[in-house]
Amino acid sequence: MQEPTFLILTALAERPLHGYGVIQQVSELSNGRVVLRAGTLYAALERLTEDGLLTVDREEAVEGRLRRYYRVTDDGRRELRAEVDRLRRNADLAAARLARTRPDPGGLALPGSAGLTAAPA
Amino acid sequence: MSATRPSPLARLEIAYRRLLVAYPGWYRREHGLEVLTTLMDAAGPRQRRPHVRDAIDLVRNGLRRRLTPPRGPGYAAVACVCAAFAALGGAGMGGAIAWSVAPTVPPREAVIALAENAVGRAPDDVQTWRAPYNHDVNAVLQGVPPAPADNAPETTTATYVLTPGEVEPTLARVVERLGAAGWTFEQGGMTFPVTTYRATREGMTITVMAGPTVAGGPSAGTRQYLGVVGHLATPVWTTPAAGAGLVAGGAIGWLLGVAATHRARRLSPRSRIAVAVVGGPSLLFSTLAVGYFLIGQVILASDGLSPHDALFPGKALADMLPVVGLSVVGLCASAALLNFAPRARASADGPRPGGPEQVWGYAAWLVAATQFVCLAGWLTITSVYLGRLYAVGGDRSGMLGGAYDPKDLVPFGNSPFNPFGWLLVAVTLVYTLGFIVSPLLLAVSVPALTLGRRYLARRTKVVLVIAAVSAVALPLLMFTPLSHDAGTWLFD
Repeated sequence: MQEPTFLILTALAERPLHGYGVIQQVSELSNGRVVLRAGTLYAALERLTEDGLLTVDREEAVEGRLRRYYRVTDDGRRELRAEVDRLRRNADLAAARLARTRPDPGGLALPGSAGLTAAPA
Repeated sequence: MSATRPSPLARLEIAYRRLLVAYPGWYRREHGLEVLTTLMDAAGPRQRRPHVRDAIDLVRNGLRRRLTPPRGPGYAAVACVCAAFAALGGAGMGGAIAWSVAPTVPPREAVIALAENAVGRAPDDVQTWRAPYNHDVNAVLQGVPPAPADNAPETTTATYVLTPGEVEPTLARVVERLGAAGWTFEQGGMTFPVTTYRATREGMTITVMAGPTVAGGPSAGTRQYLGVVGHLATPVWTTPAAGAGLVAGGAIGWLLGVAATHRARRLSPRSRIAVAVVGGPSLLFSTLAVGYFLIGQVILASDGLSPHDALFPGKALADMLPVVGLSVVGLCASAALLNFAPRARASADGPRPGGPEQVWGYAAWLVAATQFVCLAGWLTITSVYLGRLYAVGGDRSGMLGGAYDPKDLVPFGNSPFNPFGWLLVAVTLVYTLGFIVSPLLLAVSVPALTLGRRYLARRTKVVLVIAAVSAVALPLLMFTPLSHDAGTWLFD
């Protein structure tokens, strides 16, 4: 699952949102790192709806504007949970490996020095 | 006094609406206002025009929707077949247009005068032949492509009947005189079974041929012939014209195919089945025509291509005219269905796209509809046979002996250009395929009625049971004496 898709599902996991609401939530969740544009957002919403992960919750038509609210389906929640588990496993795995790794004594790796370690004292 | 200018916000909305034109119409109708609302919600308070990144994003996604078929099995294949078929049509049309604007020289009189000067007397026979492309495709498919110059758009042949002893000196005299008149002969030339020389002058090609008369004919062995054939060289712009037609047709076919698949995806399940039943055979026929063209083209290419071969797409379409006609009619009917058939209701509570209810439902209705078409084919042929038998006073031996050809029933005469003739081909195909297809359909309907029964609506199950029964009955019916007689009448 790509990051924008993950963030869209996460944004909608709590409550139904309309397009602009999703853009705001995704920006907030990613600390402004992921900025969804309308064309990309609606391509993703359409794809996720086709896959049965999202559905239209309701529509609000006011003063020539149409706000369509999307919500996550049960399949969408399952998919998001599976992705969260996968990411968590990967994160745990990476953290465990890092914890076992001896820090580089000099803090810098010189060219051609890969694989060399400091002699034990 | 100046006209009232729209407010900055209104101008921004107009600009966004213009950018949304990049999306196909169906998308704008379904999502345009929603996307526009989001764009306006996201616009800053002082924003007067769209941000460049937003504009690029909208155009990119809009074009992607226009140019790519929906995800899902078969959609890309449908678009590819549409593109290939339209490319073939475009190439045929391009080549035909290039040929049709070619001058009609050499005039018959010019060839006759040329032959008279070269041989020294008036020809015994003169024939003029004009056709877009005279390749004998059966010969092509058997790997015997004729020489390109023999298939030029227009030929006039002046023929002389000679005794075997006269041939060699006459041929030598003709070659000498034409050479003196400025005709450039190709080196060599075929010598068996017919001696052939080709010469060109000022864009015109002639062939001088001499050989035995038709084997088994009245003068075979005692007379030989010498022919001076005047050709019009294929215009050099034929290949670019056919190529341009190929590209333009392919692009248009792809766009239409993509639009059709997007439309089909939004139809109700029953409408989709109707489109599949009408459009499926049409796509099959299109594939047949494209395949026929490709095989012929590969064989032609193996012997070297000439500008004249750019007319082959048109020739292939003409050869496959009944199949092409059925395909075009079916595709037009599919397009009408795509436009007017009921659409799926936008409901959050309906069967999930791709869910088991939808998949089994589609499979059941598609199988049932195909089975009923096969049954209709059998009923049509059998009832027409019975009607014809009654009309000829029960002359069964005459019916089976070929005295009453089914093609005689085609209104306005059976010709490759008559759509009623195409109908006969279609019904004959359905009648034949029904025997083969029925057991295959049974292989889907039985699992649908057992494994998938909980996903099917009651009415769907009833229809599927009737289809399954007819799938068993149809092959058995084919072995009855009545079916045997109808089949003999149809195919003999």
